Amino acid sequence: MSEFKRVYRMNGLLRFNHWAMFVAFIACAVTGFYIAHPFLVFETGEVIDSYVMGYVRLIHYLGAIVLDVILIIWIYLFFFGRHPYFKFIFPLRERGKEALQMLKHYFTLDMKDRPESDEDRMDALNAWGIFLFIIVFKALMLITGFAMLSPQINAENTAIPGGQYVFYYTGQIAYIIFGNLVNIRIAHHLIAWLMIFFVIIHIYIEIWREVFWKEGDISIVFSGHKFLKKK
Amino acid sequence: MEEKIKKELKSLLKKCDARLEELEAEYPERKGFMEWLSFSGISRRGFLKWSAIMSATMMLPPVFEQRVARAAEIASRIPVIWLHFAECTGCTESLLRSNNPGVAEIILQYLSLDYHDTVMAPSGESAEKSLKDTMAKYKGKYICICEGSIPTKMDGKFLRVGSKAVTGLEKAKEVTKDAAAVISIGHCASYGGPQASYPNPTGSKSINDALGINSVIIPGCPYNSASLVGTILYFILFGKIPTTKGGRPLFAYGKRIHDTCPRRAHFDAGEFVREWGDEGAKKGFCLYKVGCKGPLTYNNCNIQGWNDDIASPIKAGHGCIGCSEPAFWDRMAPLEKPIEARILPGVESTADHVGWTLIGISAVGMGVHAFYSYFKGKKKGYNKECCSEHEKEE
Ligand code: HEM
Ligand code: HEM
Ligand code: SF4
Repeated sequence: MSEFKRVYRMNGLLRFNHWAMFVAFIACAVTGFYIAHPFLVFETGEVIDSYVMGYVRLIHYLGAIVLDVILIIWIYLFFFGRHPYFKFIFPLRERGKEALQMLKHYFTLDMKDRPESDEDRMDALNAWGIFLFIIVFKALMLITGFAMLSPQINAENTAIPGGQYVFYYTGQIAYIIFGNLVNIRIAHHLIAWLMIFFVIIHIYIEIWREVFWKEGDISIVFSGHKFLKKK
Repeated sequence: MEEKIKKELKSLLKKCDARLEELEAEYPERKGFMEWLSFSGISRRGFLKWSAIMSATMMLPPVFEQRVARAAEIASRIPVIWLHFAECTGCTESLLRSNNPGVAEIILQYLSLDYHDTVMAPSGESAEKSLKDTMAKYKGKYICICEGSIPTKMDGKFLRVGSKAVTGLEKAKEVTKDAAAVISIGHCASYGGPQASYPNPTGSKSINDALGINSVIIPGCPYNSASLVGTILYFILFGKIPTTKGGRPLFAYGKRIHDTCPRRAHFDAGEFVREWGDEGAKKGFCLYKVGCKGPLTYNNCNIQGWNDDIASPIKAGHGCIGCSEPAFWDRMAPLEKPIEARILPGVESTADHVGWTLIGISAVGMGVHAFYSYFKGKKKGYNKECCSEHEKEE
């Protein structure tokens, strides 16, 4: 029997972030695709009887606000957190090597190929390949979403004073990147798909690790801890 | 704060009055503008009402109403040279054919159109001469309105105009050189139009791109006459072009179609036209599902419609096609399907197709990897209850 050591990998704030993101992401994805393809069509002819698109968009924006707040918290933790990610997330020198090693491990399943990750950090491939994408995509969703929202936001209907400028100038970044509103909308749609793609892979990898490593990886997001085999 | 605004307004009004007086002295009076208005069925009262609407359209306070009326009268005296390049003349047509012309249309028809290819009486040599004369007589004072894009490939030989067969490029350069202001109207002059859409064999470019100038653009297919007249009136009142964004006057292109739409309540309620002629179409539901591009388009059709504010595409029952946005022919197509149905260049399929392909790839990849891991793991003893087997191996 090998012995296990319980290690701390995710603090409470990160875990809360994760599940808030989980809920908000699913809400955004469902409502977002509904906005793109509204299939419920009401024909009462009395607009006071229904407010379907309005509610769907409201949920999309509430989810979006949650995602945006999480993104800001995440960026803070990225630099100043307990385990500042920026130190190991970029594929520089050993990190790049670790990522390749991890990739090899996913196919050889050889524990010797698994990089010696210390207890405090995520393994390089997972961090680099998936989380960074999810976070960068989320930032792109934020600016393209704000660009689409900004025409509707003015001084009268923002909750925060000066909110319209936040929307306007964040949206302008999207105009610089994508050029025009049509491309911004298409980009928002495409990145939604890309995020779903990466989230599926993310969930697969977490389950895979749980099954093959037998170190209780999934409980990281619940309890913050996993078990490492003592060498 | 209020004091400051009042003071600013006062000085603005003073400047404006001085400018109007100057212009009235400068340009010879043309008799008959008011008669022409009443001949077209517009009373003095109607004219003043229109001035009030126009001031509001330009986002000016009510004190400007009288001055707008004065400016409208001056507008009929300022010499205008109206040039046509590669286009369908639809912009001119939409103006001339208005069944029930409003004051804006009448002003445009009555403008001192010293040169207008379509409506002028002379032709050939004499038309050329009248252009030359106007340019010489009002050097630096006339307004040049450009309609249509300019082909630039093969030195612009795709477009030749007039009896001397000069290329459009040469003519545009010559006329805009001495103009007091250049206004590009319609999608073609503003952004290149359908002829500039992919693959653009003639190298058609907008006026601004072809000539390297910075004219005001009034895009639309056709443009809205209220926007053009508003820009001219603004120029007369203040001696400068209105505030623009991306070249378009903000007073006309500052709001999105979707946010000013009379059918917007149906959008929020989830009441959509599913196909042409169905129950929803009869009841005037939102046209989102049949390809309305209102959410992507900035214009004032819903605020100031055509034909004396009676009609606009959405009011008439067809979705917005985004004609006042750059390259709408390429970007907004297919025009009668939602924007998600757009075929993306490069991948030649829709965004949803790309998405489902990605999901398919991930599903296949995950399935293969899972099976592979299962058998590989079996060999290594991973699926035993505990890790003892492969531990031993190590
Ligand atoms: C992060 C902040 C986000 C903001 C501010 C935002 C905002 C918006 C806005 C304003 C629209 C346009 C709705 C309309 O015009 O009625 C939209 C559409 C959409 N959103 Fe988001 N969104 C965000 C995140 C997401 C996420 C995470 C997803 C999915 C994974 C998503 C998927 C979509 C989709 C599929 C559409 C429809 C686009 C189309 O019609 O082609 N959004 N979003
Ligand atoms: C049932 C679903 C999910 C499970 C079981 C799961 C599991 C996990 C686990 C175990 C980790 C920690 C990995 C480590 O520290 O090594 C993690 C991190 C992460 N997950 Fe998930 N996840 C799920 C859904 C999602 C969704 C839907 C998203 C995105 C919208 C997401 C985005 C992330 C991100 C960005 C991280 C790293 C962020 C951080 O450390 O704060 N996850 N997830
Ligand atoms: S008809 Fe077009 S512009 Fe009007 S609410 Fe529907 S989608 Fe928006």
